[in-house]
Amino acid sequence: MNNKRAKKALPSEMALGLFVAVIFAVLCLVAGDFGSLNNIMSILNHFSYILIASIGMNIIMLTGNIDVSFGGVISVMAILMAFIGKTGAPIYVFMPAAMLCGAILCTFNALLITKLRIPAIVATLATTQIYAGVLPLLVEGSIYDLPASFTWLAFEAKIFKYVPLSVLLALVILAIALLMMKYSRYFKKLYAIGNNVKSARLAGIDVDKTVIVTYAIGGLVLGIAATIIATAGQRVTTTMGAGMEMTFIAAVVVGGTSVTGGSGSILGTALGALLLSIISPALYYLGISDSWSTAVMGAIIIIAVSVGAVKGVRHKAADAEKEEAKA
Amino acid sequence: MAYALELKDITKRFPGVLALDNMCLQVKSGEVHAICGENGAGKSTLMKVCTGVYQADSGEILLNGEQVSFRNPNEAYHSGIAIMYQETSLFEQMTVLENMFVGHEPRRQAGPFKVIDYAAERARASEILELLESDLDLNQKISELGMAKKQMVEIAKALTFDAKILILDEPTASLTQREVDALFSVIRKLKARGIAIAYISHRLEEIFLICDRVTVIRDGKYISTNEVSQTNKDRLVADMVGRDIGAYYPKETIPVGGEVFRVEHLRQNGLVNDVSLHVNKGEIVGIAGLAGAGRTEFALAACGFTPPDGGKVLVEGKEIPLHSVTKSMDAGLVYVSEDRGKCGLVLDMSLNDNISLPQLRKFSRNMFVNRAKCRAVAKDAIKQFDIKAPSEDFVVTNLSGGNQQKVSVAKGIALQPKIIILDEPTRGVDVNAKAEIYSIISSFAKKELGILMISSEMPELLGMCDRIYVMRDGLVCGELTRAEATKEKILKLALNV
Repeated sequence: MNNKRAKKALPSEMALGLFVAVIFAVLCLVAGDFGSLNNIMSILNHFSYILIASIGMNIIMLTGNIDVSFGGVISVMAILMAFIGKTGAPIYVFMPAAMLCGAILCTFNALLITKLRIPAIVATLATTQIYAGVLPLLVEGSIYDLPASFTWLAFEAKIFKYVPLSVLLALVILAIALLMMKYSRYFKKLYAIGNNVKSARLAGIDVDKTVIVTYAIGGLVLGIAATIIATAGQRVTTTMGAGMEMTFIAAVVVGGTSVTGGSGSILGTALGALLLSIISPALYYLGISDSWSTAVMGAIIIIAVSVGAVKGVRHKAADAEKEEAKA
Repeated sequence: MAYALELKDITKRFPGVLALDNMCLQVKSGEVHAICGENGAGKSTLMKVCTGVYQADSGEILLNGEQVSFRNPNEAYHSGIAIMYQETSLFEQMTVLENMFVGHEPRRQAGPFKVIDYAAERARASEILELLESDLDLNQKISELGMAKKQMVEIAKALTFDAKILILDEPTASLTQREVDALFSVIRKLKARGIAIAYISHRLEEIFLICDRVTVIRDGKYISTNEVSQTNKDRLVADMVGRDIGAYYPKETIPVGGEVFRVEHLRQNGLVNDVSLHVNKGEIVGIAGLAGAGRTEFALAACGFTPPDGGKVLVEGKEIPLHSVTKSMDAGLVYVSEDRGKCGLVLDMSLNDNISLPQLRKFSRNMFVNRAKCRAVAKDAIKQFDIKAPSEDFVVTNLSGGNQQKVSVAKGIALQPKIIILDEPTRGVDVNAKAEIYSIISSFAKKELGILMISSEMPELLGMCDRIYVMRDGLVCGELTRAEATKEKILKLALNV
């Protein structure tokens, strides 16, 4: 099924997968400890929240929109969870609360975009400022001395003693997303909207409703990512998520999703997330200051996107030639 | 017997335009019903009312005798009205299969979930493609297909709805003869199944080949409905053009001077195929043609907006480079866009800023713009063109359509061109503004300006032009002098009958 498409879609994802594998292998050779169990588990932990949040970002970006308030929303959710967690409430209480909070905040973004017709980047940039600005007024600096029940996910929840539960969480969400991409009508609508909003409307798709639902889902899964981030230590600050949205956007873009929407895949995003989650430890093991990691991330985005752009240009040229040949 | 689709007294008004005026239409089950009319007669608007894209201001839509109203395209689809749009509305980055079913994929139950049933989808798609006798690859991305195949996908998509009424808007516009034949055999099959088909086409010969009845619409009004067997092309054309309404055209006889503008063998990417024409000083020359004939594309190519593939453009005998708008402007060739909102004006800027925009270089010294000079030119334009604006600082978006159009023309004229191409200079403006624009055009012809006027409004071409070129399929297919030009002749050339 879908043979031809698979043949065409695979190379770019396979290339990315190979790229990640090669980097990984080289690092293992150059810095022996890189392949150590501890390091791999630490990478996987990073990978899990980047992946979850990036999937949320991915579905939003497929529609041709974006949400740069993800970082701000994470900070809000982290503080909310700390408030609840401080009382000794377990994860199955504060994680759903965070998810609900994320869904509400992101839905608010979507309402600004669909109802007030504010461009997504402007609307979410504004709400980022609001969240970042209001939070310090409510909480002074940080909430600390959180109980063990709060950090359970990071320190105790291990499968086979080593694998963090968060990884399993991420893989489950990835599996659901992959299945939905293939089998749900909803995902087809996302692609359609990202391709051509006008045509999507003519095809009878309720564009506004779909976009709102997408932001809500994005916020919902972001709540899970935020839980992994917030429960990593006994202290939660008001700027916990600041700037993180760039990592998620990078993972999506590196994974081959078009910034204008309409094309891209969840699998690509997963590989993008994996690539980005090894940058920081890689630099550490290579003895390069961690301060470089942001710059390296930027360089990788440029490389990935320009490779995609070159491919796109070539495709167009090839199409034009085909057309001419026909004429 | 009730009609499959009946429209009663449909009226639809857009700001400044009455698009449909008590329009009526009756389509029976199992018939192919043609809808004919000139450009802008209201055919597409009518279809968009049927499919819920627009809502009629008044009137009734009846399906099998039952009154319905659609708030959006979705509701129309579910009532069994499918449409194939003229401009393709496909999703470029998705496959043929995905495009055919997007938004209404067949689903099956998988545990608690409803998932897309690819097997059913493929089976249905293959069935449709077989019916269409098409060799489309379901897995191919739309962006990899040519125009004709895209059109085929559009038709296939329309057929995925269990439509009882199928609207085809210019379905053959970019199909080859073989594909047209295949389409017609499909239409006959659908007809045999009792589906009502509304068929919009410029190509009259097709109407006589495939349609049972034909309704003519003109200026948004119902004109006539006839059995195809009991009418002929001449009668249809006569119905489409109607009688003159005796508008006022301030045409003055101006002695025509030497040649100012010549285009030789201009070609551009299949849209413009070898256009040659010329304009003399003080002459008003029209370009007639139906939508999609390549008139605007020709103008854009001649002015260097979209660099042509070949050909020459000469202004006053001197060849001008074809890859720079600035250079063609400098040479005295100016184009005034048909779409003033998008391409002609910067709506949020003042009248003054708009008029001086193309020639800021001329108004500046070093880095600084001489505002006084700009103002003087703008003030002058307001007076000369009688633009109804309180001052030259007035923001253009707040002006009426007619006055915006005048600003758009004034902006072109302020460049002091030798030849100006006016693309649909009176589109979407009211009768008074039209008359004013006509006298402006006349007054500039008197000043030896060469004027090339692209227009879809027949009376305006006949009333204003010294000569008229008629374009079809990117070619000049005829040239008529003022004396020989009639609506029938132009339309027949444009329709190729």
